[in-house]
Amino acid sequence: MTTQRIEELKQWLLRERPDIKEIGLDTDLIDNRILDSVTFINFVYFMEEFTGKRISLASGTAANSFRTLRLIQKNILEEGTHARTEIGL
Amino acid sequence: MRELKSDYSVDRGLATLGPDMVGLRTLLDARFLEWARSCEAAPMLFPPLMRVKDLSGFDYFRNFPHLAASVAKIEPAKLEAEYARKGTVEEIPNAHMTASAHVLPSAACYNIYLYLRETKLDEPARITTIASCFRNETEYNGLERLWGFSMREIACIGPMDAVQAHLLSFKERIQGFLRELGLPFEIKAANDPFFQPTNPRVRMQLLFPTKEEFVYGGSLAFGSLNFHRNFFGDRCRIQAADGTPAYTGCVAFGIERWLHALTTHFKGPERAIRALTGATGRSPAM
Repeated sequence: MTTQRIEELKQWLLRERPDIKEIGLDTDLIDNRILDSVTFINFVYFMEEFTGKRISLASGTAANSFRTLRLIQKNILEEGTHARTEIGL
Repeated sequence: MRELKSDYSVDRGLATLGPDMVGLRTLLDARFLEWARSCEAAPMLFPPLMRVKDLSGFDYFRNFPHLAASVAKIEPAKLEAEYARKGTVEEIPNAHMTASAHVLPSAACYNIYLYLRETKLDEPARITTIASCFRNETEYNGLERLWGFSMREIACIGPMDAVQAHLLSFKERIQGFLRELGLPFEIKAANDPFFQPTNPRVRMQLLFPTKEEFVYGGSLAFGSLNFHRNFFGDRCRIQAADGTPAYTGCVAFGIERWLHALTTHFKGPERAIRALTGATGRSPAM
């Protein structure tokens, strides 16, 4: 189930960045600037709509959950592992 | 009569270094150059003015408009009537100036990326340069916060791994050198001095730090390690060997701040020179 959802996220990212051909599960979305300062914020909002959860970025640890698709899968999509409810931006 | 000082004087953010400080500065920069040589960084010197248009390509005026000190000429029509026949001139009014297409650099490394514009790098490039840099500030403080200062930078341009290895190797080297020298320091994550604290880039830097500073006395950043990801590679169309935009990173040394830290800690330039001469600064790994 989460594999399909990760694929949807990947497609969102590829639509945002048509210059990028492929995004691996472990590709660092930040260091590779697939997400920059503007698209990152849009991505967080998209993730909130996508998961129905409010996402906190108040700590560096929470923000680091967005570095790769695998981390998003593990920390945000898989149930029970994302308990924060406030928006920290 | 006034007595000339052999160390230094500062007037409204502008410093004059005397022979002792020049001796220390020369020794210090020789050390930075030795580090640059050991990683095969090519030494370069760039023009002392930067084009407004070039900096605009880096979103400079969106992010750091407050830092820029612009350079303009006096309108030719005003030269004779207003200046050539006048006595003392205290300042030049805006109305007498031409539009400015140039600013003084606020960092040394922008020119490195502009120099490599539209090139493809088969191997990572390493370049070092030193520049007189200028940043408008609300207040200035001795050698710690100057309007005009010197910055030595050693930049790496290439694939992400090479850039990160460059920064890590300098982080280790500088730490080893400072410990050997006996200069107390801390390493702190930091942000660039953006104009608007609400700028998305500020938030991005807070969430994903890309800058670390070597700090003396709790607050004086005298060196920094900066990872720009592929921002400059993208904007300057510099390609890494695989054809993707190159990554860049630089290690930066604020020379006058080093002078302040060294002369404060070692109690004067002579003792600082002795301490610096004794420390090898050679990293065991290099």
